[in-house]
Amino acid sequence: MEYLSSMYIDNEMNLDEKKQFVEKIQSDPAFYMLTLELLAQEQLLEKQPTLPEPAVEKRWQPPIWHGLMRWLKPLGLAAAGFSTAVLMLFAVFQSPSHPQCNNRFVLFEPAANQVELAGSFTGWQRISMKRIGNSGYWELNLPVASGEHRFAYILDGDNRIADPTLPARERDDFGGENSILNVEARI
Amino acid sequence: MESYDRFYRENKNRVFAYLLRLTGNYHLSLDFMQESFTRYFARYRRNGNNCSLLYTIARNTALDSFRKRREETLPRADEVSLPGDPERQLMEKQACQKIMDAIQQLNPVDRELIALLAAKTFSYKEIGTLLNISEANVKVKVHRARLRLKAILGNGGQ
Repeated sequence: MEYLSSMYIDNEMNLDEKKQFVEKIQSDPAFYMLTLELLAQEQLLEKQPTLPEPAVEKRWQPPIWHGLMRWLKPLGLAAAGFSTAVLMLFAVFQSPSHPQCNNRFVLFEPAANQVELAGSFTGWQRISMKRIGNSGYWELNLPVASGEHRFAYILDGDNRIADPTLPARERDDFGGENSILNVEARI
Repeated sequence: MESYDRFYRENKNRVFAYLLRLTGNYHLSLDFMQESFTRYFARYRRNGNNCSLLYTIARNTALDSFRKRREETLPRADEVSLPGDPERQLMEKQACQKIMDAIQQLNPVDRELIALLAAKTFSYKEIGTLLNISEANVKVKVHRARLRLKAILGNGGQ
């Protein structure tokens, strides 16, 4: 029945065994000493180093990580949304696939009182050209995306002509002529 | 997920205590403890929170690794820092190392029993099921393991 001391240490006793244990402690000094020594040994065993909380938490921490993710997820989504919005904004204003260049339009028309330009790159909205002194020349600087465009000059509000300096032109659906402008992409 | 978190929190210290007695190596026990939980969650999470399975995995993790490293020299658990003033720290360190070395001198069954008891997770009956021996046999073997450990420590750990 010596193993009663181990059962005592491990809380494995029923009432009968507890009674036997107490009686044996009382009657057997060697058993009493042994139990005391084994208890001291258990205390030593228990003093072994335990888990270092910070080291382990850093390496693997499901609960905190889980909680953190709960906070980070919406933040991440917000950040992703914001980034997308910024990128779209840049895409709209910069149109990276069609880089725009400033194109100078010049027309010699000394007889006209007003010259306007309308083209595919202005949405066919008329834009007034500026007279260059008394030279008879009219000019306009416009940003035009690279690619092929159509345009025409409008003299004095109703006389529509193609650019006389550009050989490429095509008839439009209204009996007039449009110049074809090819703008090369700048590298 | 919450139940896995709780299962991890409730058992990590116990599994570590078990592995420390089983291996006698602090840093390896840390690695094995994490490896055991990783294996458990990766392969057996469908089994629910099964402590017996977790300890079996922990034991196998340690044994697998020892088998692989058999020819390597294992570092001792002497890099462990304990709280307290330096002198006391040193004494406790030496006491820790002494008992750890003594455990390593036990035969594998005795060491396993001491390690399982240190985890404070299983009753004699459950240990019997784990090791495939009767509860009555566990009573006797546990006590003998303690007596052998006492004998080794009494001999100055020799």
